[in-house]
Amino acid sequence: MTPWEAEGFQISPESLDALREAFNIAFGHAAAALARLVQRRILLSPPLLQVVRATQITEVLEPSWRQYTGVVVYQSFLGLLEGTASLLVSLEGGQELLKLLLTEPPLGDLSPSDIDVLTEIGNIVFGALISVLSNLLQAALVFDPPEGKVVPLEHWWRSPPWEVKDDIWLIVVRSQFQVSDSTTNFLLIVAVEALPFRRLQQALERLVL
Amino acid sequence: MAKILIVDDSSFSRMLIRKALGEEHTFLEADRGEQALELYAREQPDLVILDLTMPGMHGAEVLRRLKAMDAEARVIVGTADIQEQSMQEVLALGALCVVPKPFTRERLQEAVRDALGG
Repeated sequence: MTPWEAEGFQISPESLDALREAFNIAFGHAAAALARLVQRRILLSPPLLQVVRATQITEVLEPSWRQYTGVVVYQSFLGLLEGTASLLVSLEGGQELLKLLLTEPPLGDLSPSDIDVLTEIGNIVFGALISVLSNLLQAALVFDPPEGKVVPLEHWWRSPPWEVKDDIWLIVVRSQFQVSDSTTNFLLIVAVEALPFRRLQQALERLVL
Repeated sequence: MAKILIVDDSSFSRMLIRKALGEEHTFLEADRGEQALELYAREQPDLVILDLTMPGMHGAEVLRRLKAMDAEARVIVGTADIQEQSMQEVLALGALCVVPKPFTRERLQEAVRDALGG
C-alpha cells in the first residue's frame, strides 16, 4: 500500500468545490450546445457532487436511480486521467428530451434511432466534461465514441462499465435541466482507478493552493 | 482601488477571481443571492461580479433586485451558463457584460477595467 493509499484519498473541501465547479462549467457549456439544438433556453441547477468508492455507490443513490428503467450513455477516456463516464436519465426523462428534439417524438419504447439521439446528447455532455478535465489536468484526454442503451437500472448497477472494487473511485454528480415546463434529472458518474484519481486530486490541490 | 463584491456559490471560483484581479482591490464575498443583496445594501461596493447558477435565488433575480435597489449598480456577470438567451437576459437587466467561465485572467481584468472606468 503506497503512502497515499493509506491516507484514504482524502479530498479537501476546497478541492471538492473546485471539482464541483469544473462540472458546473462542463454542464453550462453542454447546456449551451443543447439549447442551440432545441432552440429553447435551458435552466440549469447547481450540480451536487460526491466522491465515493465503487463499492459504496448503491448506498448513496436514491431509490429512483436504483429501480425502474433508464437510458445510459457511457464513454471511456484515456490519457493522464483514464476511466469511464456514464450519463443516466430515467426512461421518462429520455422521452422528455426526445420530445424537445424530434418532430415525431416516441410514443412508447425507444427505437434505436431514439437511442442514437440520446447518445448524441451524452456525447455533448461528455465532450464538455472532457474539455474541462483536460484543462484542469493540463493534458490531452482521448475518448472512445459513446454508447447508449436502455437498461433496467437494478441490473445495470450489478455490472456497470467499471469494476466494483474498493480502488475504483466514482465522482457522482446530480443535476437537472429544465426546458419550458419539462424537467429532466440526470446522474453523471465518472469512474477512475486509484492512480489517475490521485493525479486528479493533486491537480485540484495545486489549483486551490 | 475598488471595492468589489463577488457573488458565487463556489469558493474556488471566488478565489480564482480574487487571484486574477490581484491586490489592487478589496473584496467582499457572498455565496448566495440573499447574502449578496444584504452586503450590497450595507457596503455599497463599486462593482459586483455575479454568478448565475446558484442554489436559492438565481443570479438573474439577484441582478434584478440589485438594479431595483440601485439603478447605478455596476454588475459583471461571470457564469458557465453561456446560452445566448441567458446572456441577453442579463444584459437587458442591466449587466455591463458577461464573462464566460472558465475565466481567463485577461478577460476578467479587462471587464473590470472597463466597468470601473466607464
